[in-house]
Amino acid sequence: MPSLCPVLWWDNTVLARIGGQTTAAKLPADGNDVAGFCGFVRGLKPMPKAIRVFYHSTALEHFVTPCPKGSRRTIQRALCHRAPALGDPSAAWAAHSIRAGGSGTTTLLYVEPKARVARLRAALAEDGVFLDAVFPILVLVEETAPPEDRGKPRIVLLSSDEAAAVYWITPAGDRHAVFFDGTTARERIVQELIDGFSIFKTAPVFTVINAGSSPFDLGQIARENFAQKPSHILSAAELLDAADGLSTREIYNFLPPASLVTFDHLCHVAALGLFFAGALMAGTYLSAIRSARANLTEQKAEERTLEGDIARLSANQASIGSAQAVLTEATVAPPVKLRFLETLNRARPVQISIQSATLGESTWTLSGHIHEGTGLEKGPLQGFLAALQNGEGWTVGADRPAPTAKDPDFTLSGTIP
Amino acid sequence: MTLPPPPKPVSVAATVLAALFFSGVYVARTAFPPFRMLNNPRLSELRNEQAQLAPFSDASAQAIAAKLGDLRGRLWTEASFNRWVTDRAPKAWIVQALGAADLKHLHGRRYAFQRPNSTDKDWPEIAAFLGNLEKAPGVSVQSVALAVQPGYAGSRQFSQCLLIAVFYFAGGDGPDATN
Repeated sequence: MPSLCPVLWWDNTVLARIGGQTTAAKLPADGNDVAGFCGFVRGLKPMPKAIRVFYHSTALEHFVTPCPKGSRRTIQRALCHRAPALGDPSAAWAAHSIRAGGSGTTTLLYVEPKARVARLRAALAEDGVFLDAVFPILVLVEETAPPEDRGKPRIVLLSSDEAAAVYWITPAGDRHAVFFDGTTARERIVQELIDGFSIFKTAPVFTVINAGSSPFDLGQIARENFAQKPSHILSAAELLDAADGLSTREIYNFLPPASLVTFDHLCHVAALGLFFAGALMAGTYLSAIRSARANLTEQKAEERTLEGDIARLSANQASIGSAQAVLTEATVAPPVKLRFLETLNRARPVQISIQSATLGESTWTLSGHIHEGTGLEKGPLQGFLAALQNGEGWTVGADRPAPTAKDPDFTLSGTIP
Repeated sequence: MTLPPPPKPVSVAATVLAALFFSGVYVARTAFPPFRMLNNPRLSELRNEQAQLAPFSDASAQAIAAKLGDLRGRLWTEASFNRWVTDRAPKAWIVQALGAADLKHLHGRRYAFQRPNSTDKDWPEIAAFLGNLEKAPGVSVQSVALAVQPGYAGSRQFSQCLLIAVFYFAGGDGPDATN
């Protein structure tokens, strides 16, 4: 933010404080006042980059009004019934900081129906000058009070070459302001001061501010039997030097504070958001592509490995199949035939003779003759069968004769598993 | 409340470029999504096939190849068969070739071994020869048939003593008859 140049614009009187110097001028009374003001600013040495204007004009309506505390929007809603111009976008308005007085919370409201401030800002912008804020002059006057006098009753006489104002704050905190111009101004000022002082039971702080080329003649007031002497007498330079303490976001600024968020900000945020979102999407996209490619490569490699394994296992399957076929065909019958015959010889009692024995790959058949003991419950055949059954590697079939068979010839069979 | 000033051209241009960049990336993502084959049918097929072939591992193939090698080491040749008959079959035995066994993958020959006019006194010889046949590698004794003459006296005289065995050979068919 460039350093601000405070400029007082009171009717046709303009005063600027720049480079430690005070420059004053009088704008043409019948010309384009905005253009004249811009010409004055352009003529300042050095030409300021930003200015802060303290403004009053005869077109500016002002009055004290009850007012709730709150934001600019709250105050606008509360006062628009009394001052319909507050709802007009082309009008400019400002209000002193809300004070709690004897009649409740009040403010001093300024309304300019045909506002010049918007045109002024546009015209200054064309000259490359930033209009920081436009404040009522009396707001600046309030700011000039020393800290120790801020809460005290106060009367201020402010004068320029062509106008004057009397402003006071009562002990109860109520504000009062009257602006004067014209040929009878001086008489009315004196009367206003006399009236003002009469309402204070104790002497208020009396301040005189001279914004004109010549100081206001207080001797004339004295002649009018007015004994109050000013405790503070300020010059225009001292008045303007108090400008830095004011905030542009308060309701006493005729220029409503612009939104903190500009279209540029929105554009930048949108661009950054889109860029980062796009970059994030691009990053995840590329990462996903790389991952997918790696995955496909992995799958291809696994396919190749599996194909190799399958080819090898298929070859194994073929060789195992052919080998198994050979091994299956090369089956060797269980070598139990000799053992069966030897068991048969050992198990055969003398009462039994064997006539034939035939052993195949999986069955055996035996025929014989019982010489003695036929039909006995515990005859030689039973012992023979029991002994034959003890051998391993064969079974004795169920078609053997009954233990009490009376036929001396018998046939036995069984399996060789 | 006054409206904020209009955006600067450079801000608008930056926003437009960022929007174009974002749109381009979005369109690219939508139009060309990363191709990730989650359920690769070819891979599934190969895995199934591999699982089915798992029993035919190299170890199984080696094990069965070893068995086959062992079998081949026990197969007969003309020379080894003739030598075995000469060494193991007593002179009284008749060896008769019955022809090729009905095999597809092996060469097998069936032989009949008969001991004519044998009695129970020859049983040790018969048992020894049967034992030799059963112990010989690559030989499957298919049948043993023993019978005696009818009657009490004849029971000591074998009317039949016939052993039939299959000899597994390496290579072609064996001789039709060998004594």
